[in-house]
Amino acid sequence: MDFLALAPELLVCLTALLVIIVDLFDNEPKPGRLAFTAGLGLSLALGVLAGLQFGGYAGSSIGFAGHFMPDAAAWFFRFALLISALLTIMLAAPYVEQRIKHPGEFYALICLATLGALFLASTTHILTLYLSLELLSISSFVLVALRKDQPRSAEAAIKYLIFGAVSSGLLLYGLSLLFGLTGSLHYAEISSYLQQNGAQFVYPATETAQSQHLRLELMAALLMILGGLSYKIAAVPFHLWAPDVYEGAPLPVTAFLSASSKLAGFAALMRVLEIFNVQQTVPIWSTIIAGLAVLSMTYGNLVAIAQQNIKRLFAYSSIAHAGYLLMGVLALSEYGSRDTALIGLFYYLLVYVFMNLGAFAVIIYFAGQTQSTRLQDWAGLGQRHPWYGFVLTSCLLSLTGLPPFAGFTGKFYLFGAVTLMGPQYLWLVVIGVLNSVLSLYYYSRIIRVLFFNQPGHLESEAEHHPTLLLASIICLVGILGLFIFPNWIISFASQINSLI
Amino acid sequence: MQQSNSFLLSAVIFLPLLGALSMLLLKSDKPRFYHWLAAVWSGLTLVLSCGLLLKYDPQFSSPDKQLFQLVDRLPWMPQFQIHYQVGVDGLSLPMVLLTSLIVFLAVFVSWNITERSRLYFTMLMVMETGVLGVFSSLDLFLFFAMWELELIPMYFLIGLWGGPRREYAAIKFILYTMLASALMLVSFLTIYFLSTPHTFDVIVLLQNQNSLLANLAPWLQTALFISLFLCFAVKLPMVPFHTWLPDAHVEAPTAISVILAGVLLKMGAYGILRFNLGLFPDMAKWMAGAFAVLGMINILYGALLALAQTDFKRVIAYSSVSHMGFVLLGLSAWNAIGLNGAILQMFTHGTITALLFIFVGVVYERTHTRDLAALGGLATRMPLTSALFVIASLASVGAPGMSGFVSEFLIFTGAYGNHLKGLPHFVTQVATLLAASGIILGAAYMLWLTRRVFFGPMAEKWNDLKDINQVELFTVVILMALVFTLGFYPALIVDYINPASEQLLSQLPTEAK
Repeated sequence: MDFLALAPELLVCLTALLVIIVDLFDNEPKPGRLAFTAGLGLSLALGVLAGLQFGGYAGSSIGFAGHFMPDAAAWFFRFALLISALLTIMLAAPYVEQRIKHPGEFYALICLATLGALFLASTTHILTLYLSLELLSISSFVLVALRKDQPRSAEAAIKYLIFGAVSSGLLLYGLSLLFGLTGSLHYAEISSYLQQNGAQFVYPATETAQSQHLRLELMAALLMILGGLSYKIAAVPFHLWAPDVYEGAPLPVTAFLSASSKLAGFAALMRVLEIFNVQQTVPIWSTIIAGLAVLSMTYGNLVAIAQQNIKRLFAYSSIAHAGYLLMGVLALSEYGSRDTALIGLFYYLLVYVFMNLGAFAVIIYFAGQTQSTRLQDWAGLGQRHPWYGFVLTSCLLSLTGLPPFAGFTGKFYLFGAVTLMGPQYLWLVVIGVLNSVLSLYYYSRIIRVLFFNQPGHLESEAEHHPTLLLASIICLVGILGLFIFPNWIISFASQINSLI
Repeated sequence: MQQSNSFLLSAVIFLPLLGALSMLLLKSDKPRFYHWLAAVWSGLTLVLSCGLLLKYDPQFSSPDKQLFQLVDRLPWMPQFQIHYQVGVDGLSLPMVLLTSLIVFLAVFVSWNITERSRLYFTMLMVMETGVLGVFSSLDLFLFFAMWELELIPMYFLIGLWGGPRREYAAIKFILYTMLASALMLVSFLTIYFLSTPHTFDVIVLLQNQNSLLANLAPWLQTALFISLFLCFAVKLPMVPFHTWLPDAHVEAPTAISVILAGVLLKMGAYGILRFNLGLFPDMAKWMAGAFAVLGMINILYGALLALAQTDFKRVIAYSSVSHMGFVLLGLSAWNAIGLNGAILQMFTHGTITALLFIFVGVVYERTHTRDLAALGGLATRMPLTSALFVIASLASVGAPGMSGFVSEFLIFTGAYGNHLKGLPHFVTQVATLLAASGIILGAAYMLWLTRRVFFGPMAEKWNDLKDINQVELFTVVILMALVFTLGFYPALIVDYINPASEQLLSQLPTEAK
């Protein structure tokens, strides 16, 4: 066992325990001490992770039996996940101080959920996939319910729990079918088994049916696994939980769900689909993914137009973004577009963390100012708080995909990867691009409210919370910096060939 | 191609952005502090772009027939052949000059903006960088990024400082342009990923358009051509995609109207010339008849609508629609005269329309109305303004001795004597003849407008109007000097344009030119 490769995960785990211990034995609780503990632990993990990479340490998968795959993709996902967790803690600090009665639980659960996400992103083993998914999900259920003073929070948690239980049941059944069919729990082994015995998974061609159909067992396994994972990334039609949960959850938890949880879900989806990257199954899952992408983008963007609550709006925006990202996942299915798709996905996932969390940092700040997350209560806030107005505008423009922000480059690669699949997929690119225009309508509505409308009543005096400010600066630097210097991600991602 | 990496052109492009940054960092309560800051930065940009003119060699010719000079090239995303690459040729250099001049003047036109002047001038400067970038980008990715960069400042400029229906106008403007540029993005992606070898490099694409794009399926080539054309046609604006323009103009503050008409519309014409004609010369020639008819419709429809308006600014806005039709007509000629005329028209229309919008601003500033029924007889109180406006409207009509005459004359001569064959030849000639009647309509609406605003009986309430002031006069005089200089000696700029049109024509492979 190569424990050095696991060092970041161990550190995150220790941080979670340390937060609980500090919370338990701290007799004179000082605001920020827990946040500092958690932030320090996560930064340390991030530092170790970066050190491993730049120190030239190439992790070996020997000894983990596929449960943990320390490859380049895993490094990147863990890097993005740790950044996302750190930013979440930074932007959560003022909110937690004021409104959450049990800050220790919040920070410990964020660390535990991140731990689950880290393993989810780097596993190539069905058992660990399921376990880490459950660790992430169960921590998230509790996080959603943390506002014990608000019934909506509990309601959201119950909804999340029920949907989560059903879809993890789906996933588990799909995985067990897959195990039964192939006799292995290891992605690579399953994949090579499918590769070698592909013929036995299709119905033989008969006189009536010329085309070869996939056998029901494998088809069912594939569909159920896709369904279970689509729930995690909130793709239509598995999105139903998202708006209510996003609205009911405490704001920092909403931010965490929209960034980390989605990122981990995509990492898992990308790896799992590698199993099915065989001739017999590719046409099926690529069709399904294309359908999910179109539905998610279009539905998310259309419904977002009608939203009045900023949290619900971001729920639908995150559904739409799942759609854009699924276009990249689709492009993984063809050899010619695979490299570009990988670059696009890695790039966009990291950028998505920055732009979404940057937006949420400002949302938390504005919500603190106005005590409201309804859009009409935010009139003129951009004029009163120019810095935060500027950051939110930049993040929204980046989410739309406008330069000079990195969201533009990310979408460019995602759409480019699909274009590379050939003219038969151009319609999907057109739909994706038109959806970006659609999204401009509701993102610009926020900008309009912030800057064009006259400010209403006087709010409480502006209070700058240092970590919140820092988080907004980091996110802005992230989306601008990645636009100007995209090269390191591109050259990093272009070394990656296989995900399992 | 002449690669220099002198970064002179890059300096021109990014100076305004630097100016915008300086405005964000410096804080002052002095009145007009940001006005002067913007004037200094845009003035510097103007001086440097005149420096471009000195460095640029109009006689330059290179074996590969690509005339781009002052090229700066840095790697950006080398894996995808995306470079930071800028350069100018005879087509883009006049546009770069026009942009830096018009924005410099626009700073003075905005001299009365006092509310949130810091944000205003920051946005103006960011937009200048975007527009300069559009005209000088030689990389499709960079071009697209710059194209979109210009949108957001414009959205704020119209939406924050505009008239009563500004939010509607701003969102209409941005949605129209975004929708159009969505088509452009798809086209660029298709050009890049489906042509071999993959490249975003405009110079390489222009050099090898035949071999690079010829292996695409014919339906795909047609689709690419049409979607690129539609995108630029929205910006031009071409009837029936013009409806965003009057709204944007009427609601925008004066300086923004000046920039919108003077510079932004040229982006559409520039795109058609650079990409539609440059990358698909065969198809553009095949479609020349259609271009001529569309141009003719634009000229006549715009002029007729201008006749029917009761709002001072709307008349000028529709006259813009009409005049941009001349550019389309000039493109259809496929000879050097017509193309020279089209490019010159882009430049002259930029100066003349800017002039007219400045006058709209001058009148509106004093009377606070643009309703033609309420105006009238202002000449008695504003003699200098009305005299200058008469000159400007003559320039717009295309009176000899002024630059509008030269460009329109070139366009008509070129389009009538076009080098097309068969039906397109005939169609273009007929369209040209019909379009010539647009001149008469143009004279009608401009002179009628002059009469309705400046002559006739004057209402009592205009008794204490003041004449044009020094700052306004300064902007007007500069533009008029340019209009007259180019009217008497067009070779000043045509010498730069002509090699570019010759080069466009030389891309046609077989037929005699």
